Amino acid sequence: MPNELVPVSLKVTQARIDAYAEITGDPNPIHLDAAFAAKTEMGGIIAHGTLSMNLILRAMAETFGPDACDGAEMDIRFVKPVRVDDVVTASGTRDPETAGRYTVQVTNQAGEPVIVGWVRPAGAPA
Amino acid sequence: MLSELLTFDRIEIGQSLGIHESVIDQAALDRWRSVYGDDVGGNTDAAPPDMVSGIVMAAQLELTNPHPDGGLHAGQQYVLHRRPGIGDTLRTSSVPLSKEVRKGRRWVRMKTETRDQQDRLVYEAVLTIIWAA
Repeated sequence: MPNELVPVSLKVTQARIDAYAEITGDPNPIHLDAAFAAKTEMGGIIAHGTLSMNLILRAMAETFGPDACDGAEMDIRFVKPVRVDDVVTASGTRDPETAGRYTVQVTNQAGEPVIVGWVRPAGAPA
Repeated sequence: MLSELLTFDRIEIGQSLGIHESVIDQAALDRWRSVYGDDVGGNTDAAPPDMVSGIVMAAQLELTNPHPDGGLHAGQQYVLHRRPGIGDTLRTSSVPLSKEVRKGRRWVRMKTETRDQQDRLVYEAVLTIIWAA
């Protein structure tokens, strides 16, 4: 198994957020309505957390192929909001202490983690 | 869709929220690719692995609709058993596992299970959500 996952990046534009809201049926105004979002503790629009989380699975598929995702596990926490036009990157490093696991993170353009967690590709030792 | 707003107080632990049914078709895959671009490894009739959240979240949101605006996702756990493909009918169930108020926030954990038309497990997920009200 490689030591690193192939990194995958995405620019989180408002157009992508709007499209993602449509796909998931999530009209939460914290993602779509600047006036509403400004009054929340977030202080402005934030992207759906899963919009960035999905890059972790794309990184796993880039590294091992899509078949390695059938039977894969993922466990993540959202630790920082993603703002409009942030560029986020999913990456991962083999966990030396837990067989088969990769410690993963999604970072923004400032290098700040927005999502942290782990994945285990299919077929990896438990 | 629920008959009343699903507030934190109305969430019943262990009580199924029902089953959401969806069909994977070409349009669904096209919409997904409009956000992320082509699938890793090339487009096929199968849903890409990263589409799991799109399918699970759409079901979860519909099964808890209407709910208070402004909720936040704190964490998620997934097991991806198999990739569904065009023509598959998916049925996703959701059950609240736990809820608690901690540091002034309303924490809820929901367990979802997605199966295909042959009753094969497709996805399992545990969603940790900060309920808005």
